[in-house]
Amino acid sequence: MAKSAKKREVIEFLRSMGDEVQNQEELTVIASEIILLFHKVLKGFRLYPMNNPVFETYAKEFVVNIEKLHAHIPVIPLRITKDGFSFLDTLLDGGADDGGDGVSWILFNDGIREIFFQRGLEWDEITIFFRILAKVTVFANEDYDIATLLWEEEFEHIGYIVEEELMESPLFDDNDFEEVFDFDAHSNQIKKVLEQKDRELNDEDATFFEVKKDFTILNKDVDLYKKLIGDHIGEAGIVTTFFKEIARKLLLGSDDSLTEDLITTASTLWEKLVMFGAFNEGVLFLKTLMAVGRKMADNPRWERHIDILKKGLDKLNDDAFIDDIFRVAEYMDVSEDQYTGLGELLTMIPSHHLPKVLRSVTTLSEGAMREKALAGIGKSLKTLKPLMESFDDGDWRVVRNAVTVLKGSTLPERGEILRKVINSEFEQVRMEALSVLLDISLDEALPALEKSVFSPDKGIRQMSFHKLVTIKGNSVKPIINRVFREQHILSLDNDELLDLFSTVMDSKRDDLLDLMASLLQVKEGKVRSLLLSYLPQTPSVKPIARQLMRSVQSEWFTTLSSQDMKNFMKMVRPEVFIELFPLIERAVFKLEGGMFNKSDVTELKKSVFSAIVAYKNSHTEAAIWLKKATTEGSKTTKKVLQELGV
Amino acid sequence: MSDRIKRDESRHLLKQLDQNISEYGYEFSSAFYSLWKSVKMLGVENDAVMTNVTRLMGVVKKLGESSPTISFGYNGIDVAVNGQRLKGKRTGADYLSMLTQLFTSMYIGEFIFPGEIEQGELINLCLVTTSVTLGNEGSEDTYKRLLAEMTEKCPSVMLSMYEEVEEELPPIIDPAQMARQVYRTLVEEYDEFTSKLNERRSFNLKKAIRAIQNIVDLLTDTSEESQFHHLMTLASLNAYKQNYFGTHATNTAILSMAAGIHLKMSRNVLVPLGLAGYFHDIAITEEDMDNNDWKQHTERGFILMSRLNSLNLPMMESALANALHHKNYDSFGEDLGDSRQGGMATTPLLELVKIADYFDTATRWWQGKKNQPISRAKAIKVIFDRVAQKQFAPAAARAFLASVGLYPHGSLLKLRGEPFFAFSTGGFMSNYQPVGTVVLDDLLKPIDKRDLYPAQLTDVEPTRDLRVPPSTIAMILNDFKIV
Repeated sequence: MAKSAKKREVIEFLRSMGDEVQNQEELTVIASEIILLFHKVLKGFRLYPMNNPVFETYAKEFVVNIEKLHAHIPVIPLRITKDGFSFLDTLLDGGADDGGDGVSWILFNDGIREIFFQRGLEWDEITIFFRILAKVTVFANEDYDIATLLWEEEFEHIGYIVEEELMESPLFDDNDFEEVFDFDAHSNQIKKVLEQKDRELNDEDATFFEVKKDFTILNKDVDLYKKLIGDHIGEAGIVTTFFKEIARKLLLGSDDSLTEDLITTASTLWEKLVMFGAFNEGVLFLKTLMAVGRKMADNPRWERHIDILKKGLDKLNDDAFIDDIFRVAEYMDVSEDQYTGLGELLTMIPSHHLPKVLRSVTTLSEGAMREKALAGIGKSLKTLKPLMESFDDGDWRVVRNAVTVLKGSTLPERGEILRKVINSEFEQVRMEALSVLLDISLDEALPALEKSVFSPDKGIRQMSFHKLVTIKGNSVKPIINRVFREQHILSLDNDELLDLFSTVMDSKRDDLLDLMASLLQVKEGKVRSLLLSYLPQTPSVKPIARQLMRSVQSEWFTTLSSQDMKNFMKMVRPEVFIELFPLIERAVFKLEGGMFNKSDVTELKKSVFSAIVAYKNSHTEAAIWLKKATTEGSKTTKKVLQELGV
Repeated sequence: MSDRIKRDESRHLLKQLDQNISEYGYEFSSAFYSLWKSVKMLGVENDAVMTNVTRLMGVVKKLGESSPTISFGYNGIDVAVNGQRLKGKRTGADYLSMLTQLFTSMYIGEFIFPGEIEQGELINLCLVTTSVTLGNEGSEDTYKRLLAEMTEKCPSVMLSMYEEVEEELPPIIDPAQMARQVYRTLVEEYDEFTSKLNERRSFNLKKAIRAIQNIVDLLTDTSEESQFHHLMTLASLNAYKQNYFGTHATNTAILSMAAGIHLKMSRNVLVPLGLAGYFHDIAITEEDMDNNDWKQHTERGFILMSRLNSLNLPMMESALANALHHKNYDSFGEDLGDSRQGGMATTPLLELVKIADYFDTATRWWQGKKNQPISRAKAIKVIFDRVAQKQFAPAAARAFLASVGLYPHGSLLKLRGEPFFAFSTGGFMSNYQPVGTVVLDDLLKPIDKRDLYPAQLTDVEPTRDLRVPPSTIAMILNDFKIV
């Protein structure tokens, strides 16, 4: 059945329904609750951001009430009049006097005369419906209204009637098509045609009627359009084309009124782009406008155009607008590729606003966005004077931001500023200053870095260690040595230890790997155990061969737990087998019960022997030993080898 | 709900299209009411009146900075200035409820006057309307009386009559009525869009968007209630109510969308396509037509449409439609000298608009112009010639043919070997399928309907005088009703 026919059926049902519904009073009360919810939702949108959990609460309440009604009637109709909502011919409470900003006024003004909710209404439909209400009320938009937005969503269970559907359109009459008509000439022409002999059909006609292959719509046409439209409707498509067209016309413009219109458009367009979070495009426009301004500057004919341009660019000097930029950056769904644009935009703000900008950057929760924004500013500064005020700010985040700005700057005076800031009372500021100072002077940065590596703050310690490991040269070795001292290692928790290990592993530095492996000698078994769970991940054990040999000869080696031994044996690899095997043989193979718990010994041997067996074909030492072990080995040895299938 | 607001849902950040209205709209209404009250109570020769009119003139001047004309009225719900509502139940705004009563008593929907209106005329406006008693129910007679007086005493002020809002819901109209309605709406609203655009006034796109959305529904409905052929036949009209430009805009919109449907475009893509088709020539003037100037209106249209742009995709597409719909060619086949490019010279949607625009222009005659339209079947062949010349995109052309067929809707044809004519209401897709066709007599009046094959028909070259009479068109279109 056609959608329109189905809708008419529903409406006819709704109109006849009033007489048949039982418990009408009770249902009307529930319907009033639903209306009150609409008002709450709208009020909510004015007060809270859209991700506030209160809207989920409202939606749940809505579902509850809708289901109560749907238990009695399959469709819930709400009539909309100037006076408010009515349900089954009863005007609802909360419908009439809603302060002039209410839902019913808005719906009515937008031409909606009835809205209905059918059984089966889904959660997604409700949330989208609420967002539509928000769009047309709180976020007033000239081009769209509720009807157009509802149409776009094509709800399965929400229907509506608009006033156009109730407006009869009479049949056409002759006057609708009346045009200047020479009736005599008309009849002469008809006569001529009728008197003419009909043209013979020819091959061309036959081909044409056949609808030539070249003329027939093909699947590839549909596919082509699908792809092209996908590209076009995305922002990189139509938006880019549109802006290019504007920019092109701007640059080629003349001193006429149309160019004046174009400048007016562009002067506000860049602002709108920014308000939509399209920072890259906004900056592009700004630059285009500035280029146009330069072109016009010397010519008095362009005076009016220049005034419009200046007015448009002046927004960058406006405190409220600057606040809005940050609100957009924080609350809109800004993609990462726009971060650079944001940074560039901030550089275009006059420098006397810099302290405000730096304070506002603290409101950005996305770290990558903050970094890009600040780095951009640093690059554009011609002097660091506007920044100075921020270093004395009481909020450590502002001071840190000011330091991050220095990252992007190449001005020589930044070194002096950093030397002062590196002793800041705020640890995060010190870290940031350190990171910048490392780029300028390692010698100056190193003492501060060393201090941070042993900071009482875990995050600072970790960050500092990460930086430390990246510094080449021997100057950092003493510091790292101190990090790996047992006393310090034992003070760290497992998370931090693992972070330490993975940092060293990722550094791919053999000297640091060896240093780390020396921790196998630490007295605390838990640390050793943790290290053994991590160390086998190293691609090559050659750099730690010395430490492995040392470990096998240590007293604690044969006291390793079964899991730890398994982990250790993973490091008995071909590149170190020859050095390790004799030592392992001495340490493990003669072990028997007695002093040791028999099951521990068995497990230990199992772990060791299963690793050795893997070498029986490649290493003669292994082969020889296995042969010997199976004949002359102890009971436990033989038993284990048997279990291993040797 | 998602954690972050999506790009098109900025909270508190979208600015009003005309900030002046939000700043000065209330002040204007208040000043107007003060002036009206002082004229009513004290007469024109009074200091209070002078103070109030000075105040009002001050606000008018400020409003005039962004809008050359000012409209002020009541829409049945709220007082509105330049189409923007002033919230009706604002606390302390008694003047708004008084103005509501005033408009309903005068039975006036809206005043429109220029931003440079003289002080004296404003006073006269109030003086004329003070004959009305606040609170008394107005009527059409009241309006007519005021209109006559106003025309004499306030020549630069225009009026429109108040339209009452119905309380009872009538039945929903059937699809055929809806098809007629949307076609009429689009044609009739076109002039208002054009004039507002040229006056740099903001215009309300909702009406156009809704009409286009309704057309999408009607065109995509494939049930027995389908209005596809009805709309396509409407889209073959030369001029509805002698509105040539409005008819052309509407036809181009419908034809573009029909082709888009055959390319399986989703409804949310068909809407910007339809809008682009509708607005593509929004800036064209009679002068451009007279001078055969195909560049001027493209530039002007783009610039003026961009000015309205709210950064939504349909409006960008519409602005681009203005700029690019003559890329590579003009409507009469002349190459405009742009380098020929294969495939898509513009955007995928605009390639459809280009073809629809060409087709409608080439097959119609324009009042007062000397052009000779070509037959619709011939226009199809020309389209494919132009594909070969790389002026039109091949996929777009094929989609267009798929929607109109070999003898497109509105074609005047002759029955071979018989002294009868035929009017195509579409559907001729191959030689092997007969199509129900309206047969016309030698006065081009409908006599019956027959299933005919394309080979039984022959094309008739239209001339200015050999056209289907209005009565025939009316009968054929009215036949598209639900039985």
